[in-house]
Amino acid sequence: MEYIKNVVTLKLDKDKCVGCGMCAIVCAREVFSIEDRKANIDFLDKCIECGACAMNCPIDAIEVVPGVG
Amino acid sequence: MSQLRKHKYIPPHTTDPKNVESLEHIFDGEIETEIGPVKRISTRIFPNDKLGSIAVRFGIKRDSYKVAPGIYAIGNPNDTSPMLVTCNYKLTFDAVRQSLSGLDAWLLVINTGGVNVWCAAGKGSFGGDEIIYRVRKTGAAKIVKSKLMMLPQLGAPGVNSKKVEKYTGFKVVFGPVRALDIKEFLAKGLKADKHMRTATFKFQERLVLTPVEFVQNAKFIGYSLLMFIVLNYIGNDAESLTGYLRLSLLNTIPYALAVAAAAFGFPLLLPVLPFRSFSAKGIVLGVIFSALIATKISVFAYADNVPTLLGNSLIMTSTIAFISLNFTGSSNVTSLSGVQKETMLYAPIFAVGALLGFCLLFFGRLI
Repeated sequence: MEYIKNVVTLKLDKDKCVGCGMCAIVCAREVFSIEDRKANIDFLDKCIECGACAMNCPIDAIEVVPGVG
Repeated sequence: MSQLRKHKYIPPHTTDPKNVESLEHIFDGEIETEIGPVKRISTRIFPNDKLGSIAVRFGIKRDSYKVAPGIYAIGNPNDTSPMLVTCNYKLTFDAVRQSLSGLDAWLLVINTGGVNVWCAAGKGSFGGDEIIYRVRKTGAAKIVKSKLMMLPQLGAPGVNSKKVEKYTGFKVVFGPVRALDIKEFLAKGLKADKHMRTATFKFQERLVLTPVEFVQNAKFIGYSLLMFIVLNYIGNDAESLTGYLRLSLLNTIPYALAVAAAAFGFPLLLPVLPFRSFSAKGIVLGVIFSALIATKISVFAYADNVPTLLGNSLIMTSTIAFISLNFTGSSNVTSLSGVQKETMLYAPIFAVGALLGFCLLFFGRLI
């Protein structure tokens, strides 16, 4: 189920990304995939801004304004 | 995002709850360890637990459904047994211990104030700080020789796993979303399939949320009764007090049904209702509901005029849609940005709709 389009604050800095895959592990909404050692945002509108990816990104390549769940 | 305090950690909940007597049945013994006796937890769900869970689903004693934080044993943990971490909400705690039957493990229960993992993670109380504090306080590192800590994946919004590793000396892995996948996750060597990593919002998962939705919104039924008691006083031609009260009660029944439609119908119909915003979905449900009621106005003793029909439809639709908008907070598919956007747009519309509806009902009493 997808919610309102084009509103989420999630941003990924691909240049910084080291492809560790933590974002894909912690995301419960299948937003990310890892290809060629880089994370990719596959489904931006599925993001619920929980903040798990940004919290666990080791090099702060992800930005999101999290809600309180 | 919570920042780890480097020196002294002040727990978010200054007093830890104690295990109440009604919890005693879940402990089946103690095991001796270097840090003293550790209580062993049964993986069985007893009739008591089921009754408690049902009550909590109706919002009864929900805030006091807590387990004392600390370290517990499951089975007979040995040097290779992992330590699982969970919150101290009894409903979650029961799901976790039930899914661990036949396993040997340690279970670290942290203090989230009796709130489930995902909600607590969003608010920071299921957080790295609390985990580090709890590991230190319990002396868990002394007895968990494997130094393997498994966190529920839904705790990730509140836990920076690298920081927890740094300050506890444990290796941290994020386990599956659902407790019932824990065994499979462990059996596969800490590997999660896609389904274990994905939160769902299936029919059954939405269904269990409906009783609390109804209880929390039942106040709207009271407001409507009050409204009809006031409105029906205008030009009151009922012969007796009982007639007047009977009319007001009859008028209120569709409003009670409207709250039920919003509390039960909306969550269950969520995926099939058109539009993306919960408000727009709620309006659709409200209009359908009002149309159904409009075919039965004599049953509920409504005056047969246009202002009354429109007034009732407007208030009921606004109420249903408002409760639907509120359901964003109970769902796991909405983003804060989206909720803010639809609230700004629709909340004023619902307020104006309800007020306009009241004016129409008032006018309907005069003609």
